[in-house]
Amino acid sequence: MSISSLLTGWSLPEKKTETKIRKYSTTGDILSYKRCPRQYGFFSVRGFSSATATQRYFGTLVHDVLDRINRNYKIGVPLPSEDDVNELVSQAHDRLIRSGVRPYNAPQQQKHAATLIYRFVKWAGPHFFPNVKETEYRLERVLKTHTNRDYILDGVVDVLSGAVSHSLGLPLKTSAQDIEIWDYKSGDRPDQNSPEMQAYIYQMRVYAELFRQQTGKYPARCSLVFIGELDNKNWNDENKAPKDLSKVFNFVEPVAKEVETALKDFSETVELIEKERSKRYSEQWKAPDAKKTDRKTCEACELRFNCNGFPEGNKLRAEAL
Amino acid sequence: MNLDSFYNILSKAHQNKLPLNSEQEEAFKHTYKTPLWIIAGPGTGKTHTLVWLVLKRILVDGIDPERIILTTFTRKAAAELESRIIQSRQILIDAGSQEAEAIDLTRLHIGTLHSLCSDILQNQRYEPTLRIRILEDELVQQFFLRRSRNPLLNNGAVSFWQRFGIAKQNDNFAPIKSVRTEGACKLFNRMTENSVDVNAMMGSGDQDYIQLAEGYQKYQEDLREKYRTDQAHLQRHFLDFLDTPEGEQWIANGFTVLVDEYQDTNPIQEEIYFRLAKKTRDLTVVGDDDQSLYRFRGATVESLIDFDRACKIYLNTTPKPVYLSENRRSHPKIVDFVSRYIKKHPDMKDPVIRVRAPGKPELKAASNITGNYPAVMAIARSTHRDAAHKMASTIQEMLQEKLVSDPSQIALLTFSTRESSQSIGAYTEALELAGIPYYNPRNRRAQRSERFKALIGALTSILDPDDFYLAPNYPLPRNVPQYVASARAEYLQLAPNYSELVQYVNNSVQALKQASPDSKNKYLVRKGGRRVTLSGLLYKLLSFEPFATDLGRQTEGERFKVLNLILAEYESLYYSGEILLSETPNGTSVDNKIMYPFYATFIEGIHDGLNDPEDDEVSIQEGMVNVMTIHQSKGLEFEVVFVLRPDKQPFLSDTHIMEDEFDAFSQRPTKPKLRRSQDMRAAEDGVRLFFVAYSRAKRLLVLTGSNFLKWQRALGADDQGRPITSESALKDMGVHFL
Repeated sequence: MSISSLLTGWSLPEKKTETKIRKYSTTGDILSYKRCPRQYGFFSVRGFSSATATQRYFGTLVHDVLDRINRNYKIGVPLPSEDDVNELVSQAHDRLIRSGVRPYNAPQQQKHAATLIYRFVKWAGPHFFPNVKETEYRLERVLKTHTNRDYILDGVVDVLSGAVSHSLGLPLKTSAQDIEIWDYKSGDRPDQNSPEMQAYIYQMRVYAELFRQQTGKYPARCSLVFIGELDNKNWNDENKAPKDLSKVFNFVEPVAKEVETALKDFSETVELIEKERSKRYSEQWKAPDAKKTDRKTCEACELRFNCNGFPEGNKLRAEAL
Repeated sequence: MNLDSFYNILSKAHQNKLPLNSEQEEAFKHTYKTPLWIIAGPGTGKTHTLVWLVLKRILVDGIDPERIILTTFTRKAAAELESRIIQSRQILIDAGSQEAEAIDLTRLHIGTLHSLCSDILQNQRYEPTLRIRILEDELVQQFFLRRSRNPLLNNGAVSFWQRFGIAKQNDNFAPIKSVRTEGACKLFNRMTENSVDVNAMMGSGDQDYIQLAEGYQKYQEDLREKYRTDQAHLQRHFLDFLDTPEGEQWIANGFTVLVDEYQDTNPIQEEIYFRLAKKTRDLTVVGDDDQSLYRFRGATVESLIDFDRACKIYLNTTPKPVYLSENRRSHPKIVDFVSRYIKKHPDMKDPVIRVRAPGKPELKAASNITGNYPAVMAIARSTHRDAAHKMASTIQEMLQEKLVSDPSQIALLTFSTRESSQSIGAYTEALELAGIPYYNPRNRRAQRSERFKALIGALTSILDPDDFYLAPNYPLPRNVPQYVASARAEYLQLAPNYSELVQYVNNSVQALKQASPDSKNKYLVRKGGRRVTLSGLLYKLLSFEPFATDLGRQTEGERFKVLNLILAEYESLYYSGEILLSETPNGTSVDNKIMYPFYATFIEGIHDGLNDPEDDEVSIQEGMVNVMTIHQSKGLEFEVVFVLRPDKQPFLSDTHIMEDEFDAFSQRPTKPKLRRSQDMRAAEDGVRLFFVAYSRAKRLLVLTGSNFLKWQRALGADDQGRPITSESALKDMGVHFL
């Protein structure tokens, strides 16, 4: 007997479509996708393991030590001496090593990190740390894209502070009531017009908007601190201050129109990512045009040996090992 | 907002009809002076209730979202729950609720308990766990035990392993190292979850326990030393954190705690939930004991069944039970079948010990699926081949006649989706023969695929051109040389068609032989001087055809990924994957220190197929019939369900044995005073599995297999309590035989 003749009164079940509201991290998703869709798809969405832990060593080290100094300061520990900084760096390093991160040339990197951090603490610390309100401050909002798709955008601000710039006497329109968002970058400041720098600036604008939605108003400014710019090239050892301040700090003052542009750009990126996700597996996360990717990104990428975004990789593939 | 206004706006948003039935409303009336105990059968709108309940708690009870902790069993379920809460809030906003507009849902703590513990410890900068590395995967935990040379792995007494169910009673020798490692991990995990008193074990005078305790202490020391933790220890860290001054301050005001899938909670999690809600007594647990499937991972179904007892012990109070029994999922005949199955099953009855939650009503059919057809059917044949053939032709007809709108509305559920002859090989083969597209992540072709092996073959060809794996002075685990040899053979088979790959492998072999390690650099380097890692080699191989194309195919790509992840974890334990060289008369070769563990631990770990995590968060693949384990199907529903192999018998596992063995040392406050026998507990678990499988079906449930005489456990008893042993008895209940 056939199955259909048995199923009296059977009705065709509808196909269900579920809409998921996905969470997007400003750095881990949006900026990462913009850097390279293929790399993002493989490492962030599909979850392949990447050796970037090694590359992140320095950044993590700097970040962890600054965080610890902050926390200590909060409970009344005075700002650290040079020896203290060395000790804190070595503790943070020890944690990373024990958990299996293997950096290249660790002693030198440690020493470098300690130098930069100590300079920062000594030079900006008395203005900076007393004004810190929160560290790793989470901003998270439910937003809609231009096609009305819901998504959650989140970002973690390194430091939410009071009027640091005011206290430092920077040549800006500051006031003692300012609220500021600070983001540490452990490297050098990229070229002002580079995509990398533009991405940072957009990130700051979006933070400003998330902050506004969360608290009702914009922060006075978002400040990128390029800790790497406190190295010998840019350090005046006589007055113990950076030679060129504009290399160390980059301020983004929220202007509604610019903020809106940045947010629109993010929501368009969300749409692009969603579109990519809805494709068949084999069609997803194709390499971008070679002109659109940054060389440094490609050179560090595990997928470089077979990628349209990096034609040199084809040659490198044939090389041994 | 009071409850009436909440109901008003809720009704307004749903065509002026309150989307809650009277049972569900019971949960909304609760005042939270005592915990709430929601026992929800399959398809009774558990998530629906939970979602609106969370919004009610915020809007009506005025709880700050920041003070709400909502957990569920998997990350995927947590993400879905969060999505649904956000969407439901939007529904209220669209219906005009300004209050709903004002709430900030992003402040809710939603996640798995594990992820929340991890986040909170990070936010609080709890020193012992800062930047700690979590051994997430079972295999990785095993690598860790091996790397740290845990003394328990050297225990060669078969009686020890037999005692804990890791060796069979009739075994003459202790199990091989990989089995011991897996067993040791299970033992340690259960010890942590049950808060075992290690000192009492040490002082027990029982050699087995003393050795176990010593191994465990060494494991804990190694975790500390190597700055790692496992899932169970992370939760232990969290409890320890709560005892610090910072922790006390963090928890001072207590939390509103809601726990989904509470039937699969383990003792340490139970303790955490009661600690979080200690101050407020505001604890809501939701679950179905009949759907508890994770005993083998340490879950204790009595957490839900005896929740009233736990509330007495922890909070000195009595919870309010609420029962959800209106099933809106399935055809009434399926509901009847499922409901009778669990209620009448002889294995689920016990005069003394609670096997099911007390006071549970029968499931009531309330779906809008009608149709006067036999919604429960059976395919019983004398061989699996014949049964499989009938199943495939039935599916083919359903697809041809367009009885479903997409093949993914049909699912095949089974104990294990391994496509071996002992399992469901005959069934997937029949689908293949009939040309029916199906998706099985454990597909044999992907699992043991020639490609997967060829990749391993190519990798070992580069690393070990001198066939160290056959070297007799370093005996490797029995199966490893055999596996490597067959992987090499697969690689050689590919060779004629993929010259670019072969050339690369050969060049690399030469480069390795000619490498000249010196005292400054003893490691293998690429042109330019960067050290090569195992992962680096794997990625490079993946850039060659045919692997590059495979990488883009779902089944193969996902398997390659698992391989890549496990290799990365292995590397973090062994020389960061860097390749130490040594000089030999034949030229340079990879040092034994690298090759031996690579074979004995890594290859040994993966050779038998990669892990099959039962809660693997499968997503349904459209356009294909989906094949999955019953565990994976938890929380899902399908229009048509074929339950394969009802002849499968319950089996006593090491978990059942460990439960009894550790009982004397467990410091769990809610330890049951009495347990059923191990065999009875194993039988219960079997019944629950079938119950979950059957209750996934919406329109049609087909029991499919051979060996009808062995179906009794899967069929249970009839309304009068008589075991169902014949086809005619089943037919009398309205089951149609195809």
